[in-house]
Amino acid sequence: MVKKKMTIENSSGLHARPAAALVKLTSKFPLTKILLQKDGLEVNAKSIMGVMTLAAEKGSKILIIIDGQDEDKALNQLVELFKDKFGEDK
Amino acid sequence: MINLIGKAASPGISIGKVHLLDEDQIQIQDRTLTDSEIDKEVERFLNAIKSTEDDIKKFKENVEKNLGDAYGEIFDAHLMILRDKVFLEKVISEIKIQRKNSDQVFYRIMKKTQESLSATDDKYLKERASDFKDIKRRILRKLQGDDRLCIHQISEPAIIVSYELTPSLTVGLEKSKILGFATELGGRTSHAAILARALEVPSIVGVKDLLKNIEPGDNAIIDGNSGNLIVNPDNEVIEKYKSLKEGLFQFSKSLEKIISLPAKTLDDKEIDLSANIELPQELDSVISYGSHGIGLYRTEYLYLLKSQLPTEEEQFDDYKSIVQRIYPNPVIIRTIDLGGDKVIKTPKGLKEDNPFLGWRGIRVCFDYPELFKTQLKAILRASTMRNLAVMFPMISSLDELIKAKAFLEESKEELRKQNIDFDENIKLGVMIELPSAVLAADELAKEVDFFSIGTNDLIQYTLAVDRANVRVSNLYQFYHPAVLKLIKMTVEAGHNNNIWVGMCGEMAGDPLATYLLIGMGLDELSVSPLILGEIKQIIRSINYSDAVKISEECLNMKSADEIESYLSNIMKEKFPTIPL
Repeated sequence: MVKKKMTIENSSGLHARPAAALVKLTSKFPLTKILLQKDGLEVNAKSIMGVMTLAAEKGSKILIIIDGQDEDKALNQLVELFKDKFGEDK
Repeated sequence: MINLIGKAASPGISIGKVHLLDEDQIQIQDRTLTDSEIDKEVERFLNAIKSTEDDIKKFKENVEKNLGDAYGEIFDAHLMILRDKVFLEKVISEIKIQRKNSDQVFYRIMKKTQESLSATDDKYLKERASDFKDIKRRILRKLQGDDRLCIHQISEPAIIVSYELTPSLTVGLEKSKILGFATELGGRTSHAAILARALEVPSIVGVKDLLKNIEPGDNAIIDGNSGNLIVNPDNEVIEKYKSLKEGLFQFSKSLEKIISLPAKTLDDKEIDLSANIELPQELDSVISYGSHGIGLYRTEYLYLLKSQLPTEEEQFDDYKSIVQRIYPNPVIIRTIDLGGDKVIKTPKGLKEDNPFLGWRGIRVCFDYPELFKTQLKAILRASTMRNLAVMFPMISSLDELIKAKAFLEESKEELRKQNIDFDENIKLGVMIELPSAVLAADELAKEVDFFSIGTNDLIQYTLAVDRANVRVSNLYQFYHPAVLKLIKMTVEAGHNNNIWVGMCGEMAGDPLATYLLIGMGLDELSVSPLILGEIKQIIRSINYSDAVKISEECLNMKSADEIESYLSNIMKEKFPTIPL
């Protein structure tokens, strides 16, 4: 199991488009368990409904928890997506 | 008979049956399932999801075809929700565990999600809550076998009455079935209002207690000029509105023959009569009503209809298409004038008590240089045909204007470095909409190529009146002597510095004001495309020399009432057929 805490840096937070980008990525790891935690709330990162329920605004701290096949690879890609501000603010 | 008042959002009069979209009163049944029913219920639910997905795909295609690809993106989030396996499995397992009907299970899960989204202070995420609401309703309707939501299934033309109109609600509808819109929520820039103007159907928004006062099957009159909505009018009122409507129709027919003629007074003073637009779809009316060009292109819709900021490329495409269609006539683009919260996620705890005195317009742009420069570069890139001008809103001082100009210069420099072509001499204007800008007009005029007076804000800030506030809205007066003085001062400051002065606020489109404004020396009037013909007709029928005398009379008068009744008498005598 790997874990890493990331901060949401794009100005509009985890709204529909970034949430969709995140779900697209996590769905590439069908056999791996990927969870997101924020303020005690934990959701499945492959569910757009779950991700949006986090209501993560800019500055929110999100704990990524990955368990299973290719967990390091999945974590690296997720970290890149966070760092890339989900492709926004460019 | 009940008379309700809202904000006039699109002009014209409609009389007809009400088609009510009573969105929040969905009946949720409570049924307990027997063993044999459970699998069927799951299947029913999945069918509803599938069928909703098909509908949304169709809407998406429809929107992309009619309005452009960018608008279709509104539906992407909807589709992803419908394909969210984790969520669907949750609903299915709850149906099985609770042995309850799918509508109820689904409704409760959606409601919970929606509540957690609505609870945040985040504007963007809050807006997503309405996406959830939208999809919740759609699926519920499917489950209940009730397709009432689809407006396009209306059998006879009707006035659409609803709490609010979301984009997906309005997609499939045909203009021929719509007599008008009335919504409880919304302002002049709401989706319903923008759509109504683009479709040219009468519309009123922000009608307080609308749904409380209206029942399915009621008759109604909407007057999109005055903002009145009359529920179940009596015969006398119907007759009155019928003749008003007929008058409007005859009048608009009489205007067809002057479309290609200039807005020139009898004594040969030519006025640049242009149109205000907010959607590219309005270009058809701009052209068909014989406009000189675009005097105000409000760019806010680009920022409002999507959940993310528009890119330079998207803006460029949008501006370019307008510039090309209007060429060789001029197009003036106003840089965004929005409350900051609409474009940028505002930090928690920074709620504004006085948004109109707060973070809006150019102030937001200064705080977000990239946002501002992205728009400026898109505008510059679209300027290669040399018929595009740009203007800044909400300028309150010379310092601010100089700062805004520095941004423009920086944007030019960035384009030069990349060898991207643009109009080096692009004309620059400033909106005169704050009293301080009027007082600084002489200095401002030396820095720009034109002024455009924004009366809506100028009046609001001068008279300290929010006209949406019914308690004080009667104090919001076009013809207040102080307002006229400010307009006159602006014109003089502009002309003393050899720049032209226009007006793009609503006052420019008030037929009562035409004599006065022409007489005060305005060089350009920019009005809603729907009223352009009427104003042109007036200009073509008057003498500039008379207008000067009339404006001098008005400037000497002491009260708004006196000025208004003076102008009204002149107009009634000279133009008995013009609806005022």
